[in-house]
Amino acid sequence: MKCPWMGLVVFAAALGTSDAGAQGRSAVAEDRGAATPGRPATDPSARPAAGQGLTAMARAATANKYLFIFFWKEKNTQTDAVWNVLQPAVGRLAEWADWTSVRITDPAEKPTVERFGVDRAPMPLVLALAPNGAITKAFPGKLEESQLRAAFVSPGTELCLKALQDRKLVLLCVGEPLPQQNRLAVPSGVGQFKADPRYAPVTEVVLLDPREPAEKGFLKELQIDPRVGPVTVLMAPPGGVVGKFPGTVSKDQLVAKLATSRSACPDGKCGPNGCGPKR
Amino acid sequence: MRTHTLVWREIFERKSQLFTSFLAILLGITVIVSIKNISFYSEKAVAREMDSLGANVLVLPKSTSLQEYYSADMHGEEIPEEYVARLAMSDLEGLDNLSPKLSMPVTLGGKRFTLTGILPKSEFQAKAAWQGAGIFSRPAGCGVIGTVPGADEPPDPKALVRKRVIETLDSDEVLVGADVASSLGLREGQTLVLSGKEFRVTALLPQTGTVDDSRVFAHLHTVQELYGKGPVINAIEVVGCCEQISKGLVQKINQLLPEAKVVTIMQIAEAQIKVNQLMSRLGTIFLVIIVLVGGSGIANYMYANVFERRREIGTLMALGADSWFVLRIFLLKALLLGTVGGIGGYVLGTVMAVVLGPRLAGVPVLPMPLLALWAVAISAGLALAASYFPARRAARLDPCATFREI
Repeated sequence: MKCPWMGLVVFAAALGTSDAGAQGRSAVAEDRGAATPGRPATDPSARPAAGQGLTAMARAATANKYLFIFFWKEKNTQTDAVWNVLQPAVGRLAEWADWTSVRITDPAEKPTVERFGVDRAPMPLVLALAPNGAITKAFPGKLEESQLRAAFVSPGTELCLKALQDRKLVLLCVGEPLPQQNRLAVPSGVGQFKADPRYAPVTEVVLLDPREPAEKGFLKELQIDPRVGPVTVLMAPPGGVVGKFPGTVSKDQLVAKLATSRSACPDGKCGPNGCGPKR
Repeated sequence: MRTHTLVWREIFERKSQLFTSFLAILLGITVIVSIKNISFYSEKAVAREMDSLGANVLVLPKSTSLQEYYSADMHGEEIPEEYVARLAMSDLEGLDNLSPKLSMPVTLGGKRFTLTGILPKSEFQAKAAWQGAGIFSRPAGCGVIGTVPGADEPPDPKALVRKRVIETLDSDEVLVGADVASSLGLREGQTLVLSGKEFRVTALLPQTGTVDDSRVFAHLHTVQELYGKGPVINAIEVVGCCEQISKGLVQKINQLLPEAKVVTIMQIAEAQIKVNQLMSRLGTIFLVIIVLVGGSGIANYMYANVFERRREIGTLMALGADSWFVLRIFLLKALLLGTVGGIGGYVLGTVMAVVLGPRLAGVPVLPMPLLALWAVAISAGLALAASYFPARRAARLDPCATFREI
């Protein structure tokens, strides 16, 4: 079967470690915002109309770089502490990542603040954004340099996170390309699920080649052994694995699994005795 | 002269003593009925809350006591709303649902109700996926699945009473509790003005028998504007997964939010059960007091009565009345006194419970007809027991001896 969603196929770069995503990305020239805690903007008119946040996001996406957005409200010791960790740390990762600073009370930054819904979040807050717009890590309140590296994830992870954050279902198909086609194919059951008008607009299919070194970590997180053959993983927002289907999977199996996961308490222990909800 | 006439006249022979004996029985029964009635509905409310709440962990301001659970979001203490985001963005496993609340009193149609602000799930759910790749290693099951707009059935706002969370809620929408709706004759689609702001009634919530029936639910941020204290909340109801709670979810939330008090509903229920047990013990103590004070009062009154009226008793017996007739007069008098005291005590106690119950225990209290039988049985039994020996003494009087004394 031809894959109509080949745009989603993950051509993972040679990214081997937890900061794999960073290693595989090209660097672009730094151009950082002016509104930092220690260096507030002196000329608001000089800023882009959309605010620094959105501009920096667009620039980072174009450059295929990660972006660390530093949200802050007021200058205090906590803000300074996070800032003092972030600035030099990202500076050392400049080849793969950029950063920007957003003061949430700045009217020009309202679109950015509203986009992430952080106007009532604990401040300061650092969000790590993948080039595709997925938030790969949030650091509320405090930050250590070692934590920053965990924000770099594999391309497959980025795609799954982005879909989940857009409140979509994800069907991750792990399998090697067919020998004669030399490209990844969508399993038939997954294709039928995606073709169902009810699920089509809210489903993202991600194809993943288990031979890609960059995805080893992701497969390990998912507890998938690439040697056992093709596996389909169904994920649902906000961020959970609903089920794993080794071998072939039918649309009915996927629909049934999805229904089971919502219709009742998954472990059967929910309800009156104070543990878990009656769904 | 017939027996009931004699009994009736006998009752009003010593009015002041009769009054004090009657008062002792009446007040004793009143207090016991009142305590029993409130305890019953309080225990019922705990059970119902446990059953219907779904939430099993509460995040409260540090100063709030467990006993204040039923007014947990009406205690006037606040915690910052950012705690919701901290929880949503945390890497804690086993958080199935979060339901922050802010409550304030409002007056509608001359009656006082509670306006409660709630935050729709859609506004914080996505933050749960901000913890990167780590979310994929979480075990499947409770706490990982949300709703998918389009793929799932449109959420029913009435599910709020069961799930404690709502998927979406506009800033001008309200959900109205059953008691509020019936009291004000509200219908879905009507407009409602609360604290000067106009709202549209999106749904009338089904009866739950809990304090939620007297609430109007609106968007948290709208209520915060009306409340005027900024982005604050009174409590966060957390639906945690069993397994994770047993693995120390509460302690982990405590570490994440050290400035707040994190308790399980079980702890709250236990606290409420302790209060109920205390009230039950108080009821027993009152029962003992009424037996001792009321019983001795009645016995004293009856002994004095028999002693003072021994001439009349002697005359009655000389005229042919037998011992059983005399005994019956005094016991019927005691029975009447006890029955009236019991009925009066039940009525007063029930009124007290219905009026004071919602204020003392924070639960609606209804009359319990079964307690009427219980009150009359206790009261009449006590009066009969206390009167038996004086009545027997009267029945054994020797008419000749009584005439000789006089």
